[in-house]
Amino acid sequence: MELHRSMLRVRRTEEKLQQVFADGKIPGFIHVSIGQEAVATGVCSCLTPADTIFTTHRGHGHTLAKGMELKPFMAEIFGRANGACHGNSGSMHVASAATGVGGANGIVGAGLPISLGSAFGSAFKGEDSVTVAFFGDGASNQGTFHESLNLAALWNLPLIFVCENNGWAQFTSQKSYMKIDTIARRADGYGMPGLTVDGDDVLKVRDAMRQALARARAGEGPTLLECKTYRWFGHYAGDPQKYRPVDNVEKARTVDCIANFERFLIDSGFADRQQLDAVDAGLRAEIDEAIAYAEAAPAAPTGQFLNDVYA
Amino acid sequence: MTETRYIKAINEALHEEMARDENVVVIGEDVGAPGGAFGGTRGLLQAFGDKRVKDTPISESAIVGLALGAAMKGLRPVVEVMFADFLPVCMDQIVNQIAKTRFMFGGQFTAPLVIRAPGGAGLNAGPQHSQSLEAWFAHIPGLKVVMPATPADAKGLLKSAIRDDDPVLVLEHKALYASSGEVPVGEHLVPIGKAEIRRFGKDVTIVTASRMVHHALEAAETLAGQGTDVEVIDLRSLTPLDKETILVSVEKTSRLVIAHEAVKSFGIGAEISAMVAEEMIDGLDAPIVRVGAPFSPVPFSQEKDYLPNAADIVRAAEKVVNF
Amino acid sequence: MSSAIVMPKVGLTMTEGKIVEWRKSVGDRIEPGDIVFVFETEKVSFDVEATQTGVVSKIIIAEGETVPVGTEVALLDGAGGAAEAAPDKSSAPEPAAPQPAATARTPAGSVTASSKTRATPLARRIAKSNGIDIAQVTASSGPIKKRDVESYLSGLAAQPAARSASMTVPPSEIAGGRLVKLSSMREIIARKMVASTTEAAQAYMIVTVDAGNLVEARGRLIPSIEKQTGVRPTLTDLIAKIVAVAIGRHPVMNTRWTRDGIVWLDAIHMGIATALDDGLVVPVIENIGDKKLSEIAVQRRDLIDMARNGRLPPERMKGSTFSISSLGMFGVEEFSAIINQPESAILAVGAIIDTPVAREGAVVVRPMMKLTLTYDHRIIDGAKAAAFVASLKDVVEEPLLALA
Repeated sequence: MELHRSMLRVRRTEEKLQQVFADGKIPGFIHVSIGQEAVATGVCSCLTPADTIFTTHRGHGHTLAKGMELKPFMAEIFGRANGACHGNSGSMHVASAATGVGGANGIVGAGLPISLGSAFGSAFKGEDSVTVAFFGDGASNQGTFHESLNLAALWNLPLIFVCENNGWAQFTSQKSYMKIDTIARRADGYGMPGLTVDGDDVLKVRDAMRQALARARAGEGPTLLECKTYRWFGHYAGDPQKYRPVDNVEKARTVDCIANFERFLIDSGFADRQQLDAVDAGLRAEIDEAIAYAEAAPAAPTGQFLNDVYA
Repeated sequence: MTETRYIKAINEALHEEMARDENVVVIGEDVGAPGGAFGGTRGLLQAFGDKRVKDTPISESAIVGLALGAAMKGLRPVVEVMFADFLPVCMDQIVNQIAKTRFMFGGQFTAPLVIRAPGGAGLNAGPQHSQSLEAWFAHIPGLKVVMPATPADAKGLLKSAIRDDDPVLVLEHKALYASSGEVPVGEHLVPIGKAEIRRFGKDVTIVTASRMVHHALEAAETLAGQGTDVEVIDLRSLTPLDKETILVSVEKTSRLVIAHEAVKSFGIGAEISAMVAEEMIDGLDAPIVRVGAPFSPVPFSQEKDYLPNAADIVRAAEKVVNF
Repeated sequence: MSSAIVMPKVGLTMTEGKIVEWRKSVGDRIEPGDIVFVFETEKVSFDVEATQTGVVSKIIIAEGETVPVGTEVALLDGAGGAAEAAPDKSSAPEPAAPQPAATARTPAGSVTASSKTRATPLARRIAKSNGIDIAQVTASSGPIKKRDVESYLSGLAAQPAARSASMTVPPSEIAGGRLVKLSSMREIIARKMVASTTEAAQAYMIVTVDAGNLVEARGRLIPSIEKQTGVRPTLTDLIAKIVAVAIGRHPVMNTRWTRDGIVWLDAIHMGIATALDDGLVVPVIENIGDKKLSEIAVQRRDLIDMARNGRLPPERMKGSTFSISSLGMFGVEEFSAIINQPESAILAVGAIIDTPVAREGAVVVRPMMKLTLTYDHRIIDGAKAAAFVASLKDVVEEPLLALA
């Protein structure tokens, strides 16, 4: 049930943000992860606050699934003074030290080297915490991907590379930019195991993640976990996706990881419709409250950002 | 005081800081058993073990990014990038990630790390191994940049950098590695952000850093023989810049020359000139003159022709004095 | 054998002159002393005399044209003239005020006087803070620099030495004397006096007044004022108040010359020149126009006491807008004071001396007093000064007119 709630929380938040963004209430731009919730939830459900995740520009889902509080999250998206990052970052660099979100990154592939250090730090300190680096199929062609996989394997770091393969890197389809079609194949080239799973099945993702976690915590080193999924919307909120064939979009939208999971829960007797709807209602209320909180929050006073440049 | 070579002073700083703080780790290519390409990390692996002294593959972005992740986790990494010319290889990690960590995350995470890299020409290392790129990094908010000119400052600035809670780029000068100087015995820290007046004078101020400090002092002797009394300021830190020392000196002399080994155009001299002109134009009795290298990559064998030297500084000082 | 006649520099601030009339034409022979042409500046009309013999061969600048100082305005064919091949700049007449360090900045024939003065920012700052016009400074090379301004300033201070260079002898060569080093007060006095005489165009006007009524008025006022304040009002107190009244009627006397224009000051602050053992101070009675005689007397007494005891604070010595100086107690009949910079005028009061004068056809002996006004002709024209002095005479001779 917790899995359901986590996924739905992401879904409803992203839907709400799309709406609020279209209303012109958020500065800048956002990248929603609707359709990919199972990956975020499947992975993060196995983690504790002591574990750290690094995510991408499409990081809301991972961040919320990891457990970041909605109010500081919203306040940051709205660019307010009391946002988690003092309003300095907004959507693309949202972070939460308290819940182990090492930061969303606006540079494709840049989080990978940083996640190496986090894993290194865990091992150095003798903790059994792990680090998870989320990235997309597009990032798997950046130099940083290759450098990071090599070093992680070489140093046996407690690091899990989670590739959210939704078939699209910005505006280009995977077939046009890569020779191979399964990114997990690359793991072998660097000396670590690589798994490919159905990214729309939250239970399958969780199981694969548990395997990778066991390896990492046992000191057996990194794993590359490729989750194949669908990106329902464009690269950024408002993207008309003219580059994407219409049937490709339609097909994507037929696979709804949440709807599927709800059906599973009901069919196997874990919950009934009313319970699921109640969760939904509760989440919507929580989200609306967070949005009201963010809207009412004060903008940062003039020049406050100067305080965050140096110690 | 002990007479110490510049590279040895750096090595001493690393030994001392690693002994003082168990969170200080050294990461880089060939820093372990080989003791560093120039010997800067000699003896560290033996003293502190391979958990704290990490040799890496040739992967600058991964190395520097790893340092950031580790710093975010509470460690104090000191990364060695073999040549400052390789910093462009990992620019994203330095500029977009490290420099902006504290800012982007509202202080939830910080990056108390050090990147050491030798720059500069004079050893015929060619265009890709001889550059002075300090102006690039001085331009990045969130980063601190220091350039030691003497062994004492190499040691003191590196120690301060390691203890600093902000990311610091230490640009050493490879042609100074073999130079010697007096280094204080015992704990020796040089504050970041404070320039040092190497020679007091009243007729013209020369602001300089790194290897050019030595050329400036040589030029000052020549100029003294001509009756011109020169004040030489060794910046030591570029960011934060010690504006006050510069402005007080120019108020006294009313003439300013800035000398750096880097290409003259768009170098740190441009920033200092603009700053002084903006803040105290009515204290200037002559134009501000910069001495720097010509607008060309560093040639392999014509370095003598290419590099600015004491004679160039003498000419510049004469120009402002005789204006 | 040709030489040139140039537009001469007359006075410190002259930069250009307008030729008003050519007295000689091409072909005329001229001798030293002949008036060759007449020019005009904003303040003066000047006859330029020839200093050499020759025949005018060419008139370069026509009547009505304005040219910078130093410009060649005519050419002469020297015919055995005294300064044959000498460049004519040196033969240009050097009138009254000798030039301090500044010489004609523009070489003959060039027309750059109207273009911007090139000076370093520091030079400008130093010039401004010393109240001098940067355009007066000569550059040693390139633009005007700090050292140029500094040497101009020391040239100003050394002016009397320049004027009478032959009279300045190093102390070591003076036999039978005692060297007393300059106190700062002496230095300041010296500097101010020199600055005053070289910068202001000082002119003088004397009026002899019958002080009979003034003396009598004072006598009648003493009892009540002394009873009120314990102070006996002096003639100087009375004169100071009367002068203030007269100034009120002739505000041009309460002005100040600046580079940007003439400032007409609102309040009258009267400086009263006071002799000390070793020098001179000018304590100031502020807003004298609003003060009663009793107040003036008390303040004057207090200020002079403080000055004589060396306790006069600097603020009380500054800010005067007009000054009076009285040497009557020494029996001096008449003297001309030097204007207390930056004021526009100063009144010197002489002793009251019984003098036979003509009144209605008969000779009577009356207590006569000479008042000498020194005024800055840059600001105050003769007629204006005369009007002021006339008012002054009226009120001194009939003090009740102060109430009219």
